[in-house]
Amino acid sequence: MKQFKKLIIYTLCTATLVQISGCKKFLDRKPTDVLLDEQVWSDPKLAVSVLANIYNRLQPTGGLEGGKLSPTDLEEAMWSGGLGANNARNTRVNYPYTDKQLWSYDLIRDINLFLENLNKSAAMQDADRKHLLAEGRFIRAYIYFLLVRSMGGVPLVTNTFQYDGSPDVDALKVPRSTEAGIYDFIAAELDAIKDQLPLTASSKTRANKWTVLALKSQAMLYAASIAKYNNLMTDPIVLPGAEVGIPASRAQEYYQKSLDASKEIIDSKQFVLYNENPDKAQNFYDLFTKKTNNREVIWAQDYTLDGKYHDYTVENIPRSLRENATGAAGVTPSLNLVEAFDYLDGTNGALKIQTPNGSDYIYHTRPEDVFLGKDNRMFGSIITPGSTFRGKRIDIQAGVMEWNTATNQYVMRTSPDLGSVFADGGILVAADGPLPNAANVTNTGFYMRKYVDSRVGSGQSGQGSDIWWIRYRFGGILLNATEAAFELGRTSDALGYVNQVRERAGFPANSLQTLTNDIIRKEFQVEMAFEEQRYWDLKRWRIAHEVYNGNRQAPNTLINALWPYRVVRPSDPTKHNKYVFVKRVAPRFTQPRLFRLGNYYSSVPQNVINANSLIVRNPYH
Amino acid sequence: MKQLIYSIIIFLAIGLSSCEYDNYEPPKSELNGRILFEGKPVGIRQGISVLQLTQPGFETVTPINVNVKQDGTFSSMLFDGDYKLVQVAGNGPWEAASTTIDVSVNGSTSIDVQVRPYFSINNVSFVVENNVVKSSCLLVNNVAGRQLERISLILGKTTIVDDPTKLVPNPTDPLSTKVGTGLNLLQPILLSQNLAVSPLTTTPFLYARIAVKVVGVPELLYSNVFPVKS
Repeated sequence: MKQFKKLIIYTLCTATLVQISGCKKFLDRKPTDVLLDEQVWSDPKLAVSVLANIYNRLQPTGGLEGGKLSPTDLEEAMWSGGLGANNARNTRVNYPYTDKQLWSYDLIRDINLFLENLNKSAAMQDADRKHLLAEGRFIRAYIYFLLVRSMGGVPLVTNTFQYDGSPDVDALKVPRSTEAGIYDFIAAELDAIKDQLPLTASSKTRANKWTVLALKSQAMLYAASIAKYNNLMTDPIVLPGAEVGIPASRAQEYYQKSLDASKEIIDSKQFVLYNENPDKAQNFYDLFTKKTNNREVIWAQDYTLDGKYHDYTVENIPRSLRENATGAAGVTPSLNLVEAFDYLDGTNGALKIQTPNGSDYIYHTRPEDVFLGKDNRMFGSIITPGSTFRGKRIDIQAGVMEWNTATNQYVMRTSPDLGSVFADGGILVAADGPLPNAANVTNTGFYMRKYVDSRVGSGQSGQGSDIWWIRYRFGGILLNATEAAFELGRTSDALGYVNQVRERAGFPANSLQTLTNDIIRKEFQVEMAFEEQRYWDLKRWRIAHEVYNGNRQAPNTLINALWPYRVVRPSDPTKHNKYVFVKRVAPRFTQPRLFRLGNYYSSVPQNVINANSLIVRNPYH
Repeated sequence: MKQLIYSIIIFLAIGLSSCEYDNYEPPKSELNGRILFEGKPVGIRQGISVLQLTQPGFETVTPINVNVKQDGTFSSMLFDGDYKLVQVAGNGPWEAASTTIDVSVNGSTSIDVQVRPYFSINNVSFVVENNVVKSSCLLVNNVAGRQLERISLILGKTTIVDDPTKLVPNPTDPLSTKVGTGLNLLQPILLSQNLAVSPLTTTPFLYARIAVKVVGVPELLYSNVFPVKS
């Protein structure tokens, strides 16, 4: 028995030993589902896929995905979609201080890691390394631009930190840089990497020399305007440590740097204004939707139907064209924006809907006649009553004005039903609205066209659209150059740039002879509508608190609507079955916009201030 | 079955009794205060962020926002302790100051915050005559160099009246607003609003207030509220 026990023990011991020695091999297996650091950093293709991940996280604050409602922060559009949470955009008393808040140090750390690992890796070819390093630094500079635009000076972190477990974390605390310091860092980085990137613009989605210059043109223009216009305010927005606020003395230098970068792009002749279609309105729409051989686009965020698409079209398509059971008509353009587009003969863009003394309407044979002669960019950006989309006429009619011969007055007839018919057999409320309080039908009398896909199928939520989001385009660079040249006193150069942009829109050559700030600002507003431009423009010009001053009698604090009506007045054939227009405040829009001084810089997240005693709050928070 | 009922009763008993441990005592000490200039409260838009309380000595520095009412008074329920009452510089329609007041809260406490508004609205009077609401006031400039943008008689349908929520009469009464440039501040400023226009005729309640806009300052200064229809 004793012998037997021994035998068992020996057997067990041997078995254990065999198992333990075998374990080594088992645990040493190469993982099949993750890539190791040294594998990634020795193969340019794998390193590029790390970069692809970073590019994908570079979501603009506007764009076609998460930020697609950003036009409703402005007077250019409002929310006409569902009556749920997004409707709060029409009824908010203030912009919250957290609006546009950005603190993306997780992304900055990943880029810093990318740069450090790439620098260390021995296996990477030098040419590949140089290219990828420059690309990473470009993205980092771009994020710092997004950060400084929202938050003012932020902590400048250009290397990764390792926490060694010690209770003393003071070494890891980085204070905020000055606002000018961040802009200077961006300029210096861009200058350093400009010539290490490809010179051709063959890729529209990855960094090259021209995206670098475009970013510089934009960032330096922002820095310059803050330097100039902040100090012209009654109470300039500054912090004692200059984390917010740039000295006025630096404005000239920044304007010059912006103009130099813009001119380098213009003089390179790599880009032209998109001008392929003789129909100027369609041409302006095509600029955003045609990807092949589009020589205007400098940098875009691309989408593909193979898995990476967006629902911008699902949300914003006109009601009658929707392909989904829900949704449609989310962001709808305002009359404020429609009237900002001038007439092609140079006159002010206010629509003529009443006789000059206000006694009667102006009668139009077709609803589209009221827009005759308007800037073609308006038709390319906005679906107006009677225009065509996807080959179908979009009818927008709020009701019927029936003449009461007894009282000599019009009586307004409406219906809560889309596509309803009036007693005379004609249309009462058109299939595309507008309706006062319904969801998913326009509240303003207009629909979005820019960036909305005309391909059938793109309005289905399971499929979506693959139209790309243009971050930088040549038209924008020309406008940057216009502003910078004008600020530097080179008005004739500035006129040359801005008149090119206007000529593409259908204005005659040299349509502008003089320039003012207001003209340039309006040109930005209409050319770049819905492109995540105006909010930041109003901020850098320091006029946002005057444009959105909370006074509901001011011109642009409320969203205005234009509602077309058909006239039923058989007694007067010159007016019967003609169309008239009523201008009103959009019924679903109730609160005037109020931009407080504290909205010029978003609040620093409280957990950041709690964790780092060196971080100072932004003013007014 | 019986077992099930018993176990439910036991669980309920445990659940109810443990509630006591989850709950904190609510704060019980009341901090009352007023925003004053020369002994008179300053009228503002209700809810603007002008005062914050912080309690030093804790790990986090998250401030407590103090909600100030439109008549310039505020009250917060707090735990006993030492606080700092901080003015958020630049948010109110008065001279920016980031003064800090040490407040020691022990039971009911009251405190006055002194500010210097750009203008004061003095000798305010309202009267309704022949379906027209008329107001008179004397404006005093307290801070040299500050320009008056406009002074308006505004109307609201609740007791809370401010510029963003005011009613807009159609047509607007030209006598309800005066622009600041060239206005003689030595004379009383008379404003009036005809009440026989939409939407003032249809609202069951109506309150009036004088609002003063200073150039470059987003927040307005307000008088007290006068009930027109109540």
